[in-house]
Amino acid sequence: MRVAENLNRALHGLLGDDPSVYVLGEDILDPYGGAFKITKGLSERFPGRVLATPLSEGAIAGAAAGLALAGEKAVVEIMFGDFAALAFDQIVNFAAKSVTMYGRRVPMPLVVRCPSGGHRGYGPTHSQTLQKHFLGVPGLSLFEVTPFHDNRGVLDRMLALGEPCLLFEDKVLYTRPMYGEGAVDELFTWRLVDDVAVVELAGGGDPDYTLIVPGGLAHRAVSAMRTLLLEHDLAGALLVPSRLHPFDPAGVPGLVPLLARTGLVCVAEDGTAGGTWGEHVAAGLHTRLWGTLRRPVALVSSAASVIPTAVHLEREVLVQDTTIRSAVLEGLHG
Amino acid sequence: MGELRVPKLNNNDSEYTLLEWLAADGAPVRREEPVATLETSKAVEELTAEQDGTLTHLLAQGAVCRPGDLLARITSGDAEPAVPFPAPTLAEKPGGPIITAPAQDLIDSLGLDPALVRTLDVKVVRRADVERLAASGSSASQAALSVHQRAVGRTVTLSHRTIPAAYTAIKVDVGAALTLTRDLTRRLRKLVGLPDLLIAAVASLHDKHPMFFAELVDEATAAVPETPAVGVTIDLGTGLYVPVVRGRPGLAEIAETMTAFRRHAQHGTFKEADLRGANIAVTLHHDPDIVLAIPIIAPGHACALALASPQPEGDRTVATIGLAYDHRLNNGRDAVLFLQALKESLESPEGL
Repeated sequence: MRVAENLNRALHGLLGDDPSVYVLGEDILDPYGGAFKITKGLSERFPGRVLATPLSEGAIAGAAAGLALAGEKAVVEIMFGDFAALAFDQIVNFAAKSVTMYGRRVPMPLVVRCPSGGHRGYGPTHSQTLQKHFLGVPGLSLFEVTPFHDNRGVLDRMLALGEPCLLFEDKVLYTRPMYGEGAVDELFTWRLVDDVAVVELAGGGDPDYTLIVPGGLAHRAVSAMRTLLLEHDLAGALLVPSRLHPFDPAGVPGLVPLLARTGLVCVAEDGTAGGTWGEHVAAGLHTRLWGTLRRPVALVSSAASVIPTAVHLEREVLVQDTTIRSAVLEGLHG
Repeated sequence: MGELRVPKLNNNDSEYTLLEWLAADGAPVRREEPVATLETSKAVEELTAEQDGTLTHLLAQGAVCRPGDLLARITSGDAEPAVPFPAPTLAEKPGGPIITAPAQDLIDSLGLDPALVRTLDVKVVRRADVERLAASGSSASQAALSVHQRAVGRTVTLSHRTIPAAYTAIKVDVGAALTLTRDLTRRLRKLVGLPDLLIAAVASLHDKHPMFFAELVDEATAAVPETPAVGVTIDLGTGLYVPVVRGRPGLAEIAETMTAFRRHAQHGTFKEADLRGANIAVTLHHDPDIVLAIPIIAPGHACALALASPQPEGDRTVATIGLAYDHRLNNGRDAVLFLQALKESLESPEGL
């Protein structure tokens, strides 16, 4: 099953099981079903709970936060994650703060879905990966869709947290299949440790390096791992968390032995360089595993640049499998 | 000669699935005739032949392919027919492990035999595996195997090659059985042990579970013996022997026979007749703390049992009895029924 279908089914299941859930967004009604068809079939099946909105992200996030505050649950679709910037005030100053501003903890079951990322030639304002701007906001959690985690489980978990959550969905994932039980390909297997998907070489022993990436980078990371193994004889492990923030891999007991035995930890992400998610994760690893880490954590991010529309220029700015491969080789040997 | 390549069907997918071949491998096709369907993330597209000719598939149905990949060749009708084209590169190394480039370099520079590399039990051969292989080849001293061990080797190899075995184990409360062996040892003034009870119990199952004593004659036929003949493994360090306890003797007789067998094993005085004609085997692994053993099924047998050592469990004593069985003769359900009957018999040993 492809990731888009998995997301669509998750929303169908959620609305079917929980009559207090609303879905809001631009152009999400049938027959159009949303810019990426993730909301397809919802409005016909659940009329009155799937609401098409005017083109105002602030209004959408504000109305959804109001629903949550009034005891309902809301899932918002921002057509392109880039436009979440327009909803920043409602998310940070209203939704996240409402959890703690009323003298007691007020549950705010709100999910803001953000189709993100490039590699499609959509240009500077429709291709971004904006996680870093939402890091460290009290009362706000960040998740990312991965090809490992079933999205129904992810949605249920976010709503149960009782605080607003952003769900980043890398658009390149939509058309890719979900990984089946246990196997990534003929070389690598995967398993869950806590909420972190761990990809390893079957019977590979201690990893020469360990990658940590958000879900959108999973395929590029696996591709880099194949090349590093077959051409450079380096066996790696890959960690793909469902929740990006708060995220503390050195605080997950099941991951500590892996991180302690690895030759290099490399954190890769699609956001632009500077003030990144990866820097935050690396700072946590340096603090917690000081004395165990063999080398400084290596970081990979997109260039500090706008994202060009022309595909050959876009490729130079965004993280590719080759970018990850070079970072690992440089980290280990450079 | 024409090629059928994967076209670029949309901007969003990096790969498609070859859903179906509409024209068979080797079939004659006409220009414009649909020959295959490709599935994108959103739709199924038909691919048509670009010329008349004979179609040769190069990818299997269900394969994942990328734009530009070669799907098939179409040879024109009057050209040399059906030239066998080489299979795609991936299919050229059937069964062999994947070898990393640095590992291959080392194999080449050491001049290692590729067959030796294939003996490595790994999915991916890495440089460290090759180094280990090279080291073991140069430093291992050679030891000749005894005639006896070579015979064992031939038998177990034949078993592994020819018998599709399955395995089930059951836990048996052996408290009552151990009490009985102590009583009998005192009363008969003869050493009676758990193996003797197990032999008696197994022999007693012959009537109700004959297929575990059967011999597979051919795919459709099994020969069922009229009486049980239980082979028992005895290895006192002088070689592995499997002498046979025939029929359904009483416990005293079994104990006496087993004592004689142990003496023969020690002195190497077994006669061929002692070792012939078993139709089921009991293997003994009841040395302290052995918890599990998977026996080899002797060629011609339907199964083999393994007795592990009794272990305290709460206020009772239990032992695991494993059953490896030829799945062509018996299924899991039969194995469970057989083991349950054996358990029942050993847990109420006064009936033996």
